[in-house]
Amino acid sequence: MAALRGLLHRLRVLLRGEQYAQEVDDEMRFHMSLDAEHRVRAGSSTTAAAIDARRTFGNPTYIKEEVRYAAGTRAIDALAQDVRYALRSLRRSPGFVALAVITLALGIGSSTAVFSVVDSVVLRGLPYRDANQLVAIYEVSEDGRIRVPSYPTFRDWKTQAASFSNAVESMTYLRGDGVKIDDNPDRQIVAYVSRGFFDVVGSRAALGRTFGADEEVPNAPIVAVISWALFVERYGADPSIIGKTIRLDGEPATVIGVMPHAFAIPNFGGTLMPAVWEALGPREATMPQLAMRALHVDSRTIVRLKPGTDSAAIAAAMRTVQQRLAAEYPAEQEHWTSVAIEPVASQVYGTRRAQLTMIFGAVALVLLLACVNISNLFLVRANVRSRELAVRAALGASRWRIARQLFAESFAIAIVAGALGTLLGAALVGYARHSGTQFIPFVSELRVGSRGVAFALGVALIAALIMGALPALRASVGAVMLRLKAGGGTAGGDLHERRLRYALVSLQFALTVTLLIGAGLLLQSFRRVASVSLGYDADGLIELAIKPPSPQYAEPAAAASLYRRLLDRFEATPGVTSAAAMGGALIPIPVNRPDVAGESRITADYHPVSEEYLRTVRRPLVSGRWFTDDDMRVASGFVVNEKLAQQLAPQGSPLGMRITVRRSSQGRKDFGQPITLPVIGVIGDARLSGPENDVDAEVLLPYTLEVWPWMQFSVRAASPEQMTRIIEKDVKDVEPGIEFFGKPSVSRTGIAGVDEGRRFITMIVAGFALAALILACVGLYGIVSYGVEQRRRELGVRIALGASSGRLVRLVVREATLSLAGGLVLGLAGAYASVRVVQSMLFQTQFADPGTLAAVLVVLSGVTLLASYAPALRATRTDPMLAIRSD
Amino acid sequence: MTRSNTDLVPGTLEMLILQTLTIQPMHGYAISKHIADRSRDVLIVEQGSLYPALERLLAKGLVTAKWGESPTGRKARYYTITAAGRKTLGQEISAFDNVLAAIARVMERA
Repeated sequence: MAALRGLLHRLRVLLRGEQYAQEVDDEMRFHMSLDAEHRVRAGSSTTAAAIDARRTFGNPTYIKEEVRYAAGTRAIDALAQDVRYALRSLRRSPGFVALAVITLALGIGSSTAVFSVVDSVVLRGLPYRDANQLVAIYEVSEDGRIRVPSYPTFRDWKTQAASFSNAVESMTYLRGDGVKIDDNPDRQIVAYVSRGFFDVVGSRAALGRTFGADEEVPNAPIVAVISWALFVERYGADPSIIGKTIRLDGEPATVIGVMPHAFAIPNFGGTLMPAVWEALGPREATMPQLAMRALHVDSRTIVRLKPGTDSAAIAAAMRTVQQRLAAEYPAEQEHWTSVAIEPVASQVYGTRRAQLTMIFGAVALVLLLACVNISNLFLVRANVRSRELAVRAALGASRWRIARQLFAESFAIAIVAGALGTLLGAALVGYARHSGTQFIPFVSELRVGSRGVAFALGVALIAALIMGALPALRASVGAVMLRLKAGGGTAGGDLHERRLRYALVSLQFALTVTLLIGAGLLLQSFRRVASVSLGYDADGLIELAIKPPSPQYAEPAAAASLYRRLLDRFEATPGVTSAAAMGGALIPIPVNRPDVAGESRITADYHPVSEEYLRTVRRPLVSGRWFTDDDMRVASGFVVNEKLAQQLAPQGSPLGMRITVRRSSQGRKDFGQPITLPVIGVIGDARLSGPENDVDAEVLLPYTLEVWPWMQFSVRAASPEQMTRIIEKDVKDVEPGIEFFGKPSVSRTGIAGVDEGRRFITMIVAGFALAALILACVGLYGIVSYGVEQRRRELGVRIALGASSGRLVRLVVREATLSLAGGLVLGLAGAYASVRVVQSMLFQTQFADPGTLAAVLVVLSGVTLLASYAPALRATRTDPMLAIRSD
Repeated sequence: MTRSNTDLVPGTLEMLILQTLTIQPMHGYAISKHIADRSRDVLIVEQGSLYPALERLLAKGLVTAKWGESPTGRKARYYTITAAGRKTLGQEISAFDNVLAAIARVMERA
């Protein structure tokens, strides 16, 4: 109570300072007059009483100060004074303030945006219990191939769990599939999870609940748990979705729960995350594929490791189980005797973590650079104001007080910049969310949030300290006094001071060089990716993928005739040159030779194609022949690519060689049946999965021989961009029930064909490097101009003594060059130390890339000359008389 | 006039003010007059000490101040002791008594 009352009193003193001073004044006047009255009553004359009263009272001004001090508000008073003073002095130089605020706000804004992404992806972690204990487990063959275990294998593992119980706590199996939710035409991923899945990963629903035991048994009603992203995007984050019925591929399912943000098990790479989880139990009977041991469907087996277990321990424990299975089921399991594990966290974010860390590093460097730059500006300003500071010091301001005033200025700038930066960061994050870029995981859920705001303010405070520290240190009383004696203006050229500023410029260049080299390596990689030859002409091809509606097209013959009708329709469309169809398994399949005993180690991508394929995508025929119309009616052979040809017949030609593949379309009744035919042709290799991926072996067969249940079409047309809508309409005209896996889009090669992630990173790092370069140049320009200004008298004397202008320019530029050299050495070291950050993004490019290093050197020398030459030139135009006479 | 207040034990002035204010609310002049009268002019409170001391008591919430009419009809600032002030005064008096007794023992003549 007393404390509160005291506090209120102090607050009143603080807020109504003038009025309170007046009150104290009145009180003292009253005291004196009363004293005087008493003295008169005691017999003094009026005049003498008044004089005595005042004498006894003492110095009212002093007492007033003492009263003020007793109120304990002096420190705050002084602070308020500092802030007022800072604001007043900043108002006098709006240009400086604008430059500093904008630079810093840009730095804070971009780093806040990047932080928000990093925070959601790297820092906040995944919503699983002990996420680093969760791994996906794969089978590995003796020759190093990797596959997901089949469901029967998973069940065997479960029954033999005692063999590896020292390493594994629990395991669960999930099968992924595409599903149409309600009437939304875009297919989403559904994960069918085996019993106890949510216990294994250790996650609870954010809303509602996960499956109960009675919902995981056969014949249980269908219930669904949905993802946070689906909850927000499709159901408007309305909690009443719990208990409602949604339709999954037309079948009703009751929503019982919503998983939290970033819950993404299983993850099928990149941004392919499930939207819905269903229990496998009720579905088991309707999924005959699950019973097939040879079938390795899109699935994951997730294992929770025992604490302290590593991949070596689990590999050892699993080996005995795998060997037992290989002996028991030689057809399916032979050679698959070990396992590989992959942390779930790296599945979710893949390489994004490393890439985001890289971007964060770049933005932090730019921010640091901005701070150094502003610090430099402050330093110059403090110098220009040295006379003012000296006068203040002489009048008794302590060193601490002067430093505090300079800090007040940097804090004022930092607070404004911090506020602007937060807004900018929110705008950038909003833009990223709006763009829906695939590069950022969970982009639709991205917000700046309270952690982002805290980050922005924290950065602003640190920036204020960095910006204020140097000038405040330099404003030592001693130095200031020295300057006062020297008469102000001309003394700023003292060597120590100048060295400090050039050291700062060196530091800026070091940061810039680090960024420039990183950006250069990325650009070089980008250029090389863009110039990779794909082996076919992908440029301008319209590509689309469709799935025929069932049950009308469930039979292969019906689907094949639909594909033919589509191809005919495309080819009849004006502007279309040719159109082709290609299907294919996602996983390479074994290619056997009937004349060689045992399972072959050769695998290849399996592609049913139409006869127009080669002509449409423009792949070269190397030997033999391509499919004809007749082959589409009665298949007479396979076509292979050069890579497979090389594997089949290392010396010589595979033409005429009979090979066996198994039918690979999982949904068909004849799945797994062998087809044996001779090789009739060899075509050139192609990088079908993009310029950064290796060439895969391929076996091609007529699309009528194995009618793939969904199909990819390539259409070659004159002006492809305008054709995509027409092609889409063509499809719907032929069969309105067709579903698009991928709407018609124009594929591009070269620069336009580079993958979005690489484009994004390269652009951002290059942008930051450019920003760094500009900042460093502004810094250098400022320092050199200032230096010239400071040395005007000296330069004037030199001119008077006959120095040539070339000599003067060299004199000025030399210092700039020295700081550049220093920065270059430091920067190279910095880049070398940080190159592993960009390593994962480098494509056929090494750190010591001569082109990149040369380009960085040329660019830097160029801008250094530019930034220092203009002021140097001004130096030569100094009028010696004016320079010497001034002050 | 004997000026012995310079040797006051620190904090004593505040105790004296609080004690004075237990009689009734008073303005600054009346407080100093009261202390001088009661101590028979041994303890003269300088204004340079009185007003800062009052301000400290205000800042600690031990007294409150209010402007009111003096008996002669002029505006004066009256100080009133708070409940916390009375409590503090009690503690200070007992501490002061201890010190006094201690001094007395030391000064006792054989």
